[in-house]
Amino acid sequence: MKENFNKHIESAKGKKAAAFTDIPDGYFNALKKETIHKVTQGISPERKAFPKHNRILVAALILLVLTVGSVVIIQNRKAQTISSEKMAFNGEIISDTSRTLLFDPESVTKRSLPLQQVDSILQFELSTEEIILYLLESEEFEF
Amino acid sequence: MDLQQKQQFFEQAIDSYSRPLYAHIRSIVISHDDADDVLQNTFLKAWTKLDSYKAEASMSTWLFRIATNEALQHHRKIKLRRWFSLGTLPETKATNDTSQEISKVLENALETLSTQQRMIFGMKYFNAMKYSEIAAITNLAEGTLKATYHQAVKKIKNFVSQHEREF
Repeated sequence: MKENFNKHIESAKGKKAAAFTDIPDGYFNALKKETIHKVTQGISPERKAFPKHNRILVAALILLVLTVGSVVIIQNRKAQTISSEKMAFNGEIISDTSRTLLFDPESVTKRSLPLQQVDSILQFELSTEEIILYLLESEEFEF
Repeated sequence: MDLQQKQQFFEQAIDSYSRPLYAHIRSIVISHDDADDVLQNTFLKAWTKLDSYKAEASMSTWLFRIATNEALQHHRKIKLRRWFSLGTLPETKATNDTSQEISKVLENALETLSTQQRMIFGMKYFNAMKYSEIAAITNLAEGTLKATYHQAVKKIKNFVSQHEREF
């Protein structure tokens, strides 16, 4: 068999289609007839603009992206719920972090920063004595 | 060119080029059935584009370019189909016919080559084309073609010596 194959591969050089021994007899005549028939009938090459397997692949990719996206969103929501804490005293809720977590922490910090600065300025510019004097003079201030 | 002239010209093209094109396509897509589909598509495409064909490139180069594109596209489809069917290949019928067995061995040997190696090997070996002709079709440098062809020949020789016991 090896000898046969070696002989064949050597003799196949430059033999074009004859290099392949399994071509049915009369194949090329039939091919010509069929092609001419298709041409005269106006049949175009067999091709779909978007083959079926490609459509399946795209659908599978979309489904995968949607699934992964949903899982990420659900996980994120769960994490927010778990980390939110409610503090209650005598049945009354005094602290609920779940509402705070809905805000962007960075924006909350940015918004609160000027207030902190104002507080610190007041603290340093007014002495404690001045504040007490103000409170004593104020009519609204009562122990 | 009227329709009758066009048809006559086309028939001549089929007569002259169906065998070399078949060998070229077959070396890329491997199986006869696939080669048959691709060859028919090549001629149908050539017919639809015959009006836009300019004599700048030879008829042979033009047809080989169409056939190469069609065969590579078909080969990609086959690979994708195989990937979707988890790599299972269609079963081949066992045969005692020596010529059929030789073709099978040749197919297996060609399978060991990369797509580019198969394409170049087919054009050079089966169609005895010059490197300059192959370069005009594939747009590859002649040096690259020579190197690829020699690698392909080496791989086929290795395949034959490795599978010596099976023969």
